[in-house]
Amino acid sequence: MILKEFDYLAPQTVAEAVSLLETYKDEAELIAGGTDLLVMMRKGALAPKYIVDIKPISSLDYVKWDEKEGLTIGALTKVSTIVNSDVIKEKCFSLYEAAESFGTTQIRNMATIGGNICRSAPDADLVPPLLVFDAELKLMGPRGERTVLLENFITGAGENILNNEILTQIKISVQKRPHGTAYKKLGRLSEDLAIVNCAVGIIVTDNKCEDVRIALGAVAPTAVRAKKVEQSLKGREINSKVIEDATKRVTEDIAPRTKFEYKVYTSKMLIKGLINEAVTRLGGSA
Amino acid sequence: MSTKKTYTVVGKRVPRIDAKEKARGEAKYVDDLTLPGMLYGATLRTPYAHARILSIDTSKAEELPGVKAVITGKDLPDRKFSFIQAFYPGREDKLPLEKEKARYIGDEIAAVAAVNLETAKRALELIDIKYEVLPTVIDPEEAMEASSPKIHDKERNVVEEVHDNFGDVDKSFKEADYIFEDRFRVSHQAHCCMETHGCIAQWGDDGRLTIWSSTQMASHYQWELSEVLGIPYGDIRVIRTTLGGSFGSKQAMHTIEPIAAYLAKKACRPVKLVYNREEEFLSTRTRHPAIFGLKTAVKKDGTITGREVKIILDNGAYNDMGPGLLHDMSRLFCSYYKVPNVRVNGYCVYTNKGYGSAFRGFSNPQTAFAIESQMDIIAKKLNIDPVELRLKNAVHTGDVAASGWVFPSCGLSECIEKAAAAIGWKEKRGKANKRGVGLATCTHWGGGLTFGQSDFCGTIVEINSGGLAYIRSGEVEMGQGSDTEITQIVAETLGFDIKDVKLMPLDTDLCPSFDYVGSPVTYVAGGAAKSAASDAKRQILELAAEMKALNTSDLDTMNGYIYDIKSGEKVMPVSEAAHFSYEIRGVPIIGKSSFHQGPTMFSGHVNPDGSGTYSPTYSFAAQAAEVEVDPTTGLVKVLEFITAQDVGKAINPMGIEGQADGGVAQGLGYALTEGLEYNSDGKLLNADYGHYRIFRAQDMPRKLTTILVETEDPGGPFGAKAVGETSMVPTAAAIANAIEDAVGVRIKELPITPFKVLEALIKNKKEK
Amino acid sequence: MNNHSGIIDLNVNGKIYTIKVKNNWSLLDVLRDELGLTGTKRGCDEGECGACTVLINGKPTLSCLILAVAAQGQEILTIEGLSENGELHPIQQSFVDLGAIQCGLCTPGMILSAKALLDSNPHPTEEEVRAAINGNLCRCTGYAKIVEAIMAVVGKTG
Repeated sequence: MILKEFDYLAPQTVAEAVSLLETYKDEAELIAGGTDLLVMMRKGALAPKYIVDIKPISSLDYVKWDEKEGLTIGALTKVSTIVNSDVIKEKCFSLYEAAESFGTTQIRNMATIGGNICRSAPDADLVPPLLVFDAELKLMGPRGERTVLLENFITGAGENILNNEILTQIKISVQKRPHGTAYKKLGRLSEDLAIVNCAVGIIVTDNKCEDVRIALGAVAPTAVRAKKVEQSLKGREINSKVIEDATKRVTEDIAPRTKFEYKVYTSKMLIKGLINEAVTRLGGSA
Repeated sequence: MSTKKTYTVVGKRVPRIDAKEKARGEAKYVDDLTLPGMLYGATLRTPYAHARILSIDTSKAEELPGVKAVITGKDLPDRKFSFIQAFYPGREDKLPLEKEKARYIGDEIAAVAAVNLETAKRALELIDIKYEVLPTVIDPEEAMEASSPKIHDKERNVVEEVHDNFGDVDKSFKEADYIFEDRFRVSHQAHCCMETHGCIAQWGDDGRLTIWSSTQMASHYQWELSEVLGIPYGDIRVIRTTLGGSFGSKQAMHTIEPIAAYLAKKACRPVKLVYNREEEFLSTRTRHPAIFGLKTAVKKDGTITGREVKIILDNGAYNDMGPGLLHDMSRLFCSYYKVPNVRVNGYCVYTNKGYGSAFRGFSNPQTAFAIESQMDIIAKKLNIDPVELRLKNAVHTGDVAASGWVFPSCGLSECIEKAAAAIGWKEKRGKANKRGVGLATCTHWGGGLTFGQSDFCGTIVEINSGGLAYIRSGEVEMGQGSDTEITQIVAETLGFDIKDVKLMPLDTDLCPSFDYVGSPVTYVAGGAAKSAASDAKRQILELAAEMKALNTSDLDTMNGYIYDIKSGEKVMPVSEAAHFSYEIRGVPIIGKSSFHQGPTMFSGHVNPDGSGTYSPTYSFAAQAAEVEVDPTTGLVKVLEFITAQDVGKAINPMGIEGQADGGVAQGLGYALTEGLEYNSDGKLLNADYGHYRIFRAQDMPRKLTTILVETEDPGGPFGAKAVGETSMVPTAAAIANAIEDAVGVRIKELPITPFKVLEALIKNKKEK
Repeated sequence: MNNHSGIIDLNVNGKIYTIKVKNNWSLLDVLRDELGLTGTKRGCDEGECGACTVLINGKPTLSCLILAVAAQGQEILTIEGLSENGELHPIQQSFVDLGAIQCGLCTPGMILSAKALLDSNPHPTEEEVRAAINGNLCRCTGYAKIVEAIMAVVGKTG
């Protein structure tokens, strides 16, 4: 399949890129890894007049850890960099797990974390763990920079609040970081779109759930936090009965459009399994 | 025990003769070729599953700079074609470009040739077609109803029926201890060749057409092209390029060749037409879906006494091979298990979907899923071990099935026993610990086919004056390794080192004629190669005998030398005799042969009740699987998989293992993840690898074993039979049976998705 | 660069090619159609099959999903650049010897994925080998002999 013609623009800085977006607006598409954009163009789903290639902006490719700031990841960091990052494995294990289950070697070498977030697909692999970590996004636009929570960023299937802006950084604050985390993608085969994906983060003290965050993907137009389930766990003693009861409330949190019963059932199962996994990783048992 | 002969080339793990150029990326597939002045073609496909074509306006497309030819159905003669017309004349129903109606989403309506693909694609967008959209029918059972839309404007959508009746079925059911009745449903499967279909067409000044094609069956394409273009057979030359997989999909000619030929004719330049992956999913032909109602009469001891079968074969929008496939299916229900009484009523039905064709195992993976799933259902009810039940009913060498099939060699029981032992049947079966083992078996025609005209294959083996052998054969390399196998057979027969045997690329102008289908290449082309090589060898030995005043019968060849059998001493190099023949005698050394099947079902080898054998021999296999089922998700993981295959004689064990591994991968996909999904408008929902999931390296079982059972068939070259197809025939049933053993649910519809498994598990729990 | 086409320098197999490309051409389009390097295969053009895999700066990359204009200044290795002086690379030889090749369309991409793995991890486990080639679809072999061929050269390359 031949791509339709377009103008190719390769800005050297974020500011240049933003000004191009402001100039061309809806006629322009950003390209980072290209693993989604070019496929959609080939399928005829998109036909931009301008392609703004931000991949060469090397200042957006980094993983940094700072005791005060927490973890900051440049938007153009490749998924393979996340897989190979010791600090991410140490501090945000479920993000590593999500990155590892992301596509194939080739796709991981090309796709970026920013691309995965900005595509805003309901089944995006990296979004559930980032939701669990309460990730903050830095957006650069014509009127300067703003910071938003990931939770408020994605607004629908393939939709987000970007307005001639570029996502530049993903930040996970140290204070908010839950202590035990786990991620799992349910797919038919080793490389598959998620039927359901789920991330869990939990803080347990003396077998009591101090805090818990659960995020699910592919069960609603956007990845969602399972807040009702979380509420039923918070402050409670962690045991299988409590977890079992809490997962029942998942139907209040999710709204799958297809395979409803399957997705509800497996969401419960994933949450259960991942809470156990996360607690085990903390050194406890559920 | 038979005294097995020792060979120097046959039976050895010989690396493929084409492996190096493929490893270097130098093998030329059709899309790698460019001819001077070549144009690029593209096809316009309809977006409607059923629509009348009211008008087509191509004027804007023709005006686009760079466009050299635009064609529609009006530019072509009114000649329909279908593969099946060779067997059932009058069943042809497909135009290369449809004029009146579009019958499935993807149907070809117009085509363009331009200086590059980009221009050709842009021109397609400028073609304006007005349609009257018609009601569609997607489900084959609905399509059989009188009120359903008529896809070919005929009285009914049923295009072929089979009504076979062997023995006394009613009596067998009256006298049965148990009667089992189950409904099974199998899905479409796409071949997913890594190389999409493609060809290049060029007309010569002499009016001859040359087609470079990724075809499994060059000489049949030649014939089909002649039918559809209305030009003499001899005016068409088909050159086979390296095939990037076929599995049956490049056996029947597609519309791509006639379209390219017409574009090339109109533009007066060569035209390349290659499908993209979406077109490959949309419009190349698939494994036929089917519904089976299977009723079986069984005695207390497990003896199967009768079967009554209803088949609804979902043909899709066009015939291709559907009607023939229906008849094949029918015979399989009384083939490898002794079923003395059988009645089959089958219907091949048009629907507004992509259409079916040949796919590895042709008709057999479908029927095997039904037969082999029900075997386990029977075993469970009768409390007989499924392995024992199969052994009890299995056919043996010399048996004749109710369908008239005869089995000159049969290793079915040995396959069953070996597969069961290898999987650890006794230790693992019935543990109900989320892990389970399952087994299933099959047969498949192992020689050429006899139900149409006889299969045939010509072969010429020429020994040049330097003592090298050149083979010109109608064998069908499609990736499976037959080039190497034929070369081995000739090298072994001639007593040559394999490097001194060269196989000529397949070109219908240079190679002898052939016409046969599928994996009987070993039996048919292998048989022809062996006898052509024997003919050449005889000539060489006669020359040497004459030169040295020896008896021909005292001489033989080995390692490129002619030697005296008694003394074991070298008489002369083959090259010396060859040189003598050309230089002194003025006679070339040309061994020739054409394998011919003998009597066919059409030429009288049919019994009064319609029974008769399909093939001079049959291959057999048993497969055993160990799976693990996750009861929280319904996901099935295949831990271990065994294939025990009766191959007659393994010409190249390494090649057969590789083929079997690949067959298993396709079979596992058929079992668990593949299956085209159409919505009610006939739109294909998974026309890409992102949604149509085939197995990857991490999905395959870590333990994958092939056991070769050698029964030394009396008719096959060196005792060999067809090997390529059986390895995916019983796979889906083996998996279904293993799942049942693991978690107690029986899934009767393919693919066995996690959704179906989990639903059944939850239902099971509720019932308990 | 605002035009529909331009002149770029591509570093392929250690050779610099100065060519005119259009913006909408993928690296795969250019390798095959402009440079005649047809060893890189077009399997799906949608990033799923891996037949178009090339190594960019040593990493397996899908040439169908990278624009040619964006591939400037990078080291690109295709299958044609793997064997030296007609000698097969040990991975290629192992594929030949152990029956890892059938139709051969996935082979170039598969071999390049294997090379990238062995270059960065000379002693992989079987699981690591399977993970490394998971992006390369094969419809013929069931992957068993491919995995075997790669494992057979572990420690023998580089």
